[in-house]
Amino acid sequence: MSYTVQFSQVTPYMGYLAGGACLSLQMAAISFFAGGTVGLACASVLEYGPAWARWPVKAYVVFFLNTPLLVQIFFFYFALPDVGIMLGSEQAVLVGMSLNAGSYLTEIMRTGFRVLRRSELEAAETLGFTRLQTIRHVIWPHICKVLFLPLSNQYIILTLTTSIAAIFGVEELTGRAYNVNSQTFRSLEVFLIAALYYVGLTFVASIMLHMVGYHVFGIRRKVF
Amino acid sequence: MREFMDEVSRFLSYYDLIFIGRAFLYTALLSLVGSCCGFVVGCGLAIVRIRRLVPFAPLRWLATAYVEIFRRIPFLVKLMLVLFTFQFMGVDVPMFVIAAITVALAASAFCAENIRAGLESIHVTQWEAAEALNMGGFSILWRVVLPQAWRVIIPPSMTYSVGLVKSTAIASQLGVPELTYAAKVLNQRGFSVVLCFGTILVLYFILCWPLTLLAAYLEKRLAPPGHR
Amino acid sequence: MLGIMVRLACLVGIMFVALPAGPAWARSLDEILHAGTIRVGINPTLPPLALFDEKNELVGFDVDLAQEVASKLGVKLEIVQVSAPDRVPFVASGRVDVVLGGMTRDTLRAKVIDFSVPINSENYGIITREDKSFSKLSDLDNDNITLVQVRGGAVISFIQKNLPKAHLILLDNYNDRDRALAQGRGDASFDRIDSMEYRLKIFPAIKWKIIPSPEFGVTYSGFGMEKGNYSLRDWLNIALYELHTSGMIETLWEKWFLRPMDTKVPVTPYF
Repeated sequence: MSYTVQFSQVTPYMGYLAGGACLSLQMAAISFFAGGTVGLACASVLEYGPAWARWPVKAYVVFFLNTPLLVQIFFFYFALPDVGIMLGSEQAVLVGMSLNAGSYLTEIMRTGFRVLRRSELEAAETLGFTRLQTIRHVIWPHICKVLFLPLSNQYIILTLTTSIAAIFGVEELTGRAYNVNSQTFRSLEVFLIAALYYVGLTFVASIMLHMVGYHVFGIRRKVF
Repeated sequence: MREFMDEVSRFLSYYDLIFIGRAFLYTALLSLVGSCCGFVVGCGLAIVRIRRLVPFAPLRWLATAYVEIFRRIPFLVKLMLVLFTFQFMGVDVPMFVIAAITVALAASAFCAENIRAGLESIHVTQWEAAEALNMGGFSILWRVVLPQAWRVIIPPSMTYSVGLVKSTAIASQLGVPELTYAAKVLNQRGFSVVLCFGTILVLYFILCWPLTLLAAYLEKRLAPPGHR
Repeated sequence: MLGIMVRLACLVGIMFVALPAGPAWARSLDEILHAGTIRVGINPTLPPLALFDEKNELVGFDVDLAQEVASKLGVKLEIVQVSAPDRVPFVASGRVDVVLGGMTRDTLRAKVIDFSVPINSENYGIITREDKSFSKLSDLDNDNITLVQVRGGAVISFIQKNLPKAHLILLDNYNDRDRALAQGRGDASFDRIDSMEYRLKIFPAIKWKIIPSPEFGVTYSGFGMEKGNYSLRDWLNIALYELHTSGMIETLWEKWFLRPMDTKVPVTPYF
């Protein structure tokens, strides 16, 4: 007997999977903002901080950039309780994703800091801009324009990364796909639908971010 | 602390070292095979998407669809899809092939996009000038565009290959004997989480860090003059 | 951008419609005998059914049983490692001839694959620590109780129906479940208890308590094989009858599970 593709057994779970997708989006947003805060802080330290503070930050960034997120989360989930820190599965995944995203975002933010040229600030000063005006009209637009694309890409990558949470029993999109798989054994169909959700979600995000980038910052390049 | 040292000495037995060493090679080989195949396929896809070389639009759309779809499926889901697609077709292939194909799918979609960006960074006037010299399409690509585009293509590809090495950890879900799976097996045998996962974190770092450094070096070295 | 999206939608549509039907890949008893090997799917995440020894080689109850079956059949044993999410599809698509690894016989699975007669019984109970006070299943239906469970399976639907007040933590596999229980992430787990004596050995510092819950009933697990592969199933049933009556299965069970099987499998010569 051969395996035939049957979507009919899986279609009743479409809504259930969509609920998982909502959680995926939530987790992506939380880890993006948490990671962004970490990244901004670390980038400031690396660019403007004292030498003694730069080393640990540098070590954090290098370490997290060069080890797999899955193993990091494993560590947070199963090793931290030995020292009295008990994170739930979703928390552990969020902490892992935020710290991991933080290391990438540190690098991104640093390029943002570096695009500012002294001549630009001097020009603003010559024009008689106040400090606030300089930030509002010179620094902010310039940084936004440079950072918009890499930040948008990072957000979409984070949306895809949330699927790792399934391995820790979080009921996001992939986790729910696993659940449906264990109930229906319609594996190919379930994961095709999950994949379709991910493609759809990130495609919509790409288009929306592209429109924002184009109309607000005048960026023509494609988002992700 | 003494308990931990005892555990470390038990951990460093001949068979465990061989086991971890093999897992390390498995991860390295999986990443290498996957990313090389992916790079070749990615090059092909990027070339197919050049309007000047491929006038047949549906072929270009197909390449675009491939790239857009496979970049947007998480590695874990892709892994399951590859696994179950092979089962569905009834083809009996080793798990290594399934894992490597997943890595290659991810790599090809990324490379295609990255190489396209590299090719598009070369100004249209160069194509036009070469055409005026009566050069053929592929000859222009090979002799005019690519030599300039490599500078833009190589650094992000190197950075991405680090990401691929890290993604292979997810292949542990298939039960292939790579590093993360080895850590799970040893952990199940009673060694502590800190020891098992700490060891492989260091091993992953040893694998990835040189690649990251190389990528950073190439980025500096290859940056087109005037961009830095 | 919108144009790309429309084209993409069309292409995806075409891809779904054009999916070809998979070819059959069943290996009947004759073909297995002819090939000289039997491919047995074994799940190494369920010790002591299967586990890695100090030399990191696969051993365990399932491995020994598969070896017995292969030698009865007079063919070589080829072990294929399978994992929890893919083992049923593995056998349903014929990539292995039979699958082991606690294949509980239930109506859900039996829609997709065929089963042999039982190999062993599966007994259920509450796994908890000695300092917890509950003594029966209904004590767990309380909103200050957190259960740590493995995702999927009949136990989860049972808990959702009968212990609705308890909080649930779902994990990916049994090893993660054990570790989570040892770390005190939850109060208890309701699941199969046959292997617990063996599994909990790696947490010697913790005083465990295992409370059998016979009121849940007993399930049986057997060999799983591709639907309609009757030649192989019928042979396996006879092989299992011999292995049961000769006492081989009980011997192997006690060797690996460190105690007798809780509920004996009734053996009859009729299948």
